[in-house]
Amino acid sequence: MRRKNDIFDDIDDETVEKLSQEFPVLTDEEKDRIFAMSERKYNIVSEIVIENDEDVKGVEQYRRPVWHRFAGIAAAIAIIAGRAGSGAVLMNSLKKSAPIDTATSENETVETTDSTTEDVSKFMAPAKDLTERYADFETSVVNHALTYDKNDTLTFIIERTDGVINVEESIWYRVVDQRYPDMASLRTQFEALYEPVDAPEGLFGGEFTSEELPAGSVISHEMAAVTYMTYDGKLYLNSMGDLGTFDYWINSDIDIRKVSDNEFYASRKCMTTTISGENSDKCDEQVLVFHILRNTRSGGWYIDYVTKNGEAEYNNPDEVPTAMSNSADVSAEELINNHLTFYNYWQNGQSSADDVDIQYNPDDYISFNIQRDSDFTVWYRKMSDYNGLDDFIDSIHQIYTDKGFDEIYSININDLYNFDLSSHQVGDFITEDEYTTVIEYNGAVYLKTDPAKTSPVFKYLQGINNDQPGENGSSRVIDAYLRFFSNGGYDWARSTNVSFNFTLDSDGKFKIDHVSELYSDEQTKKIYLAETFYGFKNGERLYNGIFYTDESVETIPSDDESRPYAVCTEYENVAELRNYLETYMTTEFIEERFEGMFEGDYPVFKDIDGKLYGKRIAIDVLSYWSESLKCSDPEKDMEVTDVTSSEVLVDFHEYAYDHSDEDETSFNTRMYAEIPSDSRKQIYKITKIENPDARG
Amino acid sequence: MTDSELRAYMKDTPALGRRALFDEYCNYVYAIVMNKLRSCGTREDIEECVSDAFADIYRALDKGSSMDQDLKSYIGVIAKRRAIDAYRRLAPASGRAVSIDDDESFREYAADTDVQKNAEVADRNSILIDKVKQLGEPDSTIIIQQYYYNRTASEIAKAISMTAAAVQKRSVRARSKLRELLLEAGVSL
Repeated sequence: MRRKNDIFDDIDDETVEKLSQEFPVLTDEEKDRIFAMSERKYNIVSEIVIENDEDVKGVEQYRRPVWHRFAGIAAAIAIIAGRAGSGAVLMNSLKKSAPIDTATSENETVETTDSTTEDVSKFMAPAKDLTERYADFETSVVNHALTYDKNDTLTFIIERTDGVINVEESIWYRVVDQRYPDMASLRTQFEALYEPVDAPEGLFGGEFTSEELPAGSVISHEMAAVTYMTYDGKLYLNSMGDLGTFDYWINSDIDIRKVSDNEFYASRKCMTTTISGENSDKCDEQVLVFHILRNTRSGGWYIDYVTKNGEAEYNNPDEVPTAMSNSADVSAEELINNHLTFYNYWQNGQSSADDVDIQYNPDDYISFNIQRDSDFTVWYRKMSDYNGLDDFIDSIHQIYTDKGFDEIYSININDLYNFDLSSHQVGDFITEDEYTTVIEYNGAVYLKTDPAKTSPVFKYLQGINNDQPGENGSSRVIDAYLRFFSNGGYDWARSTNVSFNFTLDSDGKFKIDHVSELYSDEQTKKIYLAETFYGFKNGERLYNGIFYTDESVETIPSDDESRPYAVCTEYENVAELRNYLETYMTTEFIEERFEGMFEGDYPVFKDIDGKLYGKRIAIDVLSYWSESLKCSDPEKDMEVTDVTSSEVLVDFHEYAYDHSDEDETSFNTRMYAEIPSDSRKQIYKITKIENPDARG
Repeated sequence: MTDSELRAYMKDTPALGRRALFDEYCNYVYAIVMNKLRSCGTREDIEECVSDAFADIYRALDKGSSMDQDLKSYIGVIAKRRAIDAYRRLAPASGRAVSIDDDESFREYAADTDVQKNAEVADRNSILIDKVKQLGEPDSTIIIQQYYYNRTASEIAKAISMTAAAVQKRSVRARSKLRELLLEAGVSL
């Protein structure tokens, strides 16, 4: 294959770059093919990080996790982006589907179902009133059908999506509908229907002036998806965006299902503007189910949410839903996931602020000083998805009861309001009292970093084992299995069963009130043994010359002309590193397994000018872990046998990913360790490692 | 697209961001891999290696490493590392298993530190590229595609809208002319 007279035999990097720029060679077809391959590999590698965990696809386990806001907010964003439709439909997206009675939805009479023997006629008037007003709101406000002046327009440019060449315009018409002179009148109409439910994002936009937003300005996609905005005090309607799908009520029949004196469901059949198939004359019929509640203060009724084509939450017509059980059914798993997302974000936020991270992401950090024995710099990491403490606390309230939050995060939620440090300059001295976990600074929320937390442990929901209602209907207990993952690699043995207690909070919604992790003795033992094993794997990594370094510090040539010494930023000096290894391994084992790590004329690690240096291989630590370690399942991949009262034997089934053949390999490793004489310390020391079928 | 735009794009819409990053740098990574594997890898090997490199790059960027580095050089390093790994696997002489703690296997990394040799190579290459360009189009492209990228005459023909026979003819002439130009400049092939 090698060509004769290969003129491009010895091409330097700079020339390669020049060639690639001046003589690009890849065809579109080749690009697509290679890109598809890279995507596949990227996804495979990502997936092995957390086995079988659909919720944590991607490599977010390796980086500071990208924060996804809770489902409700995510849904709102999706709506803004996609303009899913009407206000009521938007509301649906923010909540899971409500019960729909399939039997009655097919029944066009106003008779109540058999199960409901009580008289529901008193609900008919509010049901009719609300559904009629709903129709009016949908067909006018949501469907952009207000009277407008086509000659009074505003045009903006929508920010460009990379790769899109066309310039997209966002055109707005001045609303001249007498019913709706301004935004407030729209809101009033909405609130008369949905009060006290918040208006969906994207329906009522903000207020702008021609000074701050001259016509022709570039606006964001989000703004271009808003339906109404106020501009120079006048109401404008967006010419673009999807319309709602409601067209008209097919008849006046309404089916009522009573829940309580203050709550009922009303089903009514409508025609939609959605066109079925290719037949443009045939629109869809749909049954909308309204969940209607009484405002106990005003005595009036309002729509809590609307479901269309909702899947039945229950099929038994004898079972009358209650708000509590329904709400728990739809949100328990979601709440657990929201809790874990928040928990992981919190763990990540608190993890120690290393210099490299601060240097690379300066906008994410602020620091203050504290006078202790000596001046001490404290770092706060920005929780960038929150617009201030109110927003932050509101998000917490969606998941936890106050007690639950306090218990899990050791913070009284009411204390969160107290610390706005905006009056300080960054770098100022602050008091010990001000040095609190969560602060607000210039409108952003910051979390105190903890120098001791170098490797945060993240948790992910693997499955729900058991789900049982509490005794009085206002509580619920769910047992779930969580997988643990640490940036450092192995932390999987800690994965465990967790019991979540939910309780009905003051706003009538279920929240997490208590979380307890359930470790059996065997599991506890596995945790410590896994930690010991990880100590060994870490030692092996260091011995191989793979460690974090500070590339700004010059390397020092080694005397034996092998790899130069690079500074190792993981430990202060040889003594500290040795101490770390000796925590998990006997001295004899270290000397035998990691021969020459500290001894001999050319040790792998040595102290130079008071700093730890090692013969480093230019391999990224996380890449190394990603290729050499895969989370195992302690339940099936770790077998512990007590050999004697002082020796334990553990068989690990390990996994690794082999990039060369894109294959996952597995192999067994047997670890012998001394059982600690003081069982409270729980630190096992490795005496021997056998790799009966190790790779290579 | 600038580095920071690409990074922001990858953060906001990861899938589209990856594609944008790929489009921006695929020719660069391909050229790097080609430089290393031209003598020992098939077209499939090279594409595999390029895709491996991109998977590595996405992961590295995901975890936020090297945020302040010039993206291109960072990508270059990863691509080169991948290419060297593949070279070890594919080159007949290095068919043995290589251990990561084997110093010998890291000579390729160390080779970059030979400053004088590097300077000489860079000079020679600079002249080479100048002279290739001096051939004028389409001959420059033909030479590069044929001898750097191992493309066949018919592939090149398709790319530059000529017949394969014409490409072949021009290639022979161009190569001969290039040899003369290089000799004049003091570089022998």
